[in-house]
Amino acid sequence: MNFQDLFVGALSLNSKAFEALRERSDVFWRGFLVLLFAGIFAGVFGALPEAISHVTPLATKDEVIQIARGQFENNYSGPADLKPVYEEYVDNIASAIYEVLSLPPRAGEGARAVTAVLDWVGNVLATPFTSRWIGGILFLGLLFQLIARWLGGRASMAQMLGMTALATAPQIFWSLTSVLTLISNVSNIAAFGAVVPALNFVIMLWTAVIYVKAMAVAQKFTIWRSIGTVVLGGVVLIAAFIVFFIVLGAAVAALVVVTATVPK
Amino acid sequence: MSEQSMTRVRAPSAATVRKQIEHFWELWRGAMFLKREIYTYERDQKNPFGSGLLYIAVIGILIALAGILGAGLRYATLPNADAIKNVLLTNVEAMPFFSTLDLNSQAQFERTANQLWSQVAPLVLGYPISDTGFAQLIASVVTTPLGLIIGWLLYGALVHLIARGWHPETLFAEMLAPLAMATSPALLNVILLFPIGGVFGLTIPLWTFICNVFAIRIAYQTTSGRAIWAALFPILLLFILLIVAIILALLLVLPVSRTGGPQ
Repeated sequence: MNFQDLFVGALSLNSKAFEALRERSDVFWRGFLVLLFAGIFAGVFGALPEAISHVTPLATKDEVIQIARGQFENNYSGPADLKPVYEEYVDNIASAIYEVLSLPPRAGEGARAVTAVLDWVGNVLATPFTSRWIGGILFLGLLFQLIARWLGGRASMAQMLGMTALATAPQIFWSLTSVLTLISNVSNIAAFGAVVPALNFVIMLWTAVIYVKAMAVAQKFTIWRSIGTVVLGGVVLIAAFIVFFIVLGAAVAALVVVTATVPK
Repeated sequence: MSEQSMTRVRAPSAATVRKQIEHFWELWRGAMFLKREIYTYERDQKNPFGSGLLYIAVIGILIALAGILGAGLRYATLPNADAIKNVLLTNVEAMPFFSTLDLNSQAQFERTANQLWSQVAPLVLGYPISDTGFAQLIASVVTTPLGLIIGWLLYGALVHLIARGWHPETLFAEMLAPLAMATSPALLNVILLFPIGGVFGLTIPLWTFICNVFAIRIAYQTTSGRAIWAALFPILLLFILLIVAIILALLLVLPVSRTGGPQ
């Protein structure tokens, strides 16, 4: 089974491709290659806006201050009597940001383009390793593996991680949403921007479906047992958060008590 | 000394270097992607401790070199640190609150701002702004691998304390070698050579933890549940020690602050 078959098989939920991958000794590596390809492809477009911002000429100082004032006006929700006080600071902060961004790089103005390229390459290479990509696969893989084993699952950790990494295949289409967002921002055509949330929803749903299917194949579960594992995992996660905040609250309360009882 | 009695030291050939790089890549890839053979291979080495030590040292040196190169790139492509500080300070001093301060307070404010800048700037800019910082950066070629090695030995010792009972035949060194493989995810830090922020979040710690569990399972030929417990034990111990230290520090500091400190 070559890479193309595996990638298309992941996108089309091909059971044979999933089962063939499960039996390979390098299952995690193969699954990761799918994630790496989708991540880098999405990153190529996702990192464009930031890189472009490095080489786009800055607006004038007055324009920047006007934009900052406008954003402050729209977003301020504090007490009305404090508004004029804060307003005075907005100009200074906007002016400081403008002046810092206008400073020339040490190697000269030509280095701005180099910074843009380095920034872009760095962000593209880092994309597959962020929490949104492999970080999520590792965290959820560890959580669901523990629960699945408890429910009678039979996957090794490598099988679980390699198989569920296939779920990132649809995220290659984040490249499309990135391009649409960029076009929408540049052209001010709202229709492009409006499509993005719908596309993101489809990608998320597609990812979730592949994840459940991949876990079912990895653990030799039925689809329903796989869904049950995900639900139970969610419950465990929420319970863990609640316990964490209770413990944190108890620790803070204990600290307050200790502070109050220490002799003056 | 005659020429004949001298030991000849030949530079390694390109083919040897390439072979070594390929071997390192195979080890790294196998360790990252949980290949059982790689962890077993390391455990069964003639000198497992030396092998693990060398592997971690190489990883540490590569991370440090990437850090130095990255700092150099940031130094060249970012504006002068003093210029940034001056712009920020000028704008802060133009803020309404500054004019309400008396001259002494204004001077004190500037001193504090300068001190704060010297602490924060290297973190924000990503390159050292003082001679000490520069020396620390260069020394990272030694300190980074050393830190990784100390962490590896301490973590390994605590794991061995818990896990040796499960498989008494496993020697400390035989456990350390596979555990060295579990430091592989740290090499992902070389991407920080590029001027990007800390984008990995929990990726490296999580991946390392998973590799640790895998290494412990293979070293002690034990179950996943036990391996997870052994891998968690040093982390839990550190966490508890940290909490105890914080509580003790608070108990020591609080009475002093209540009485206004030593007179």
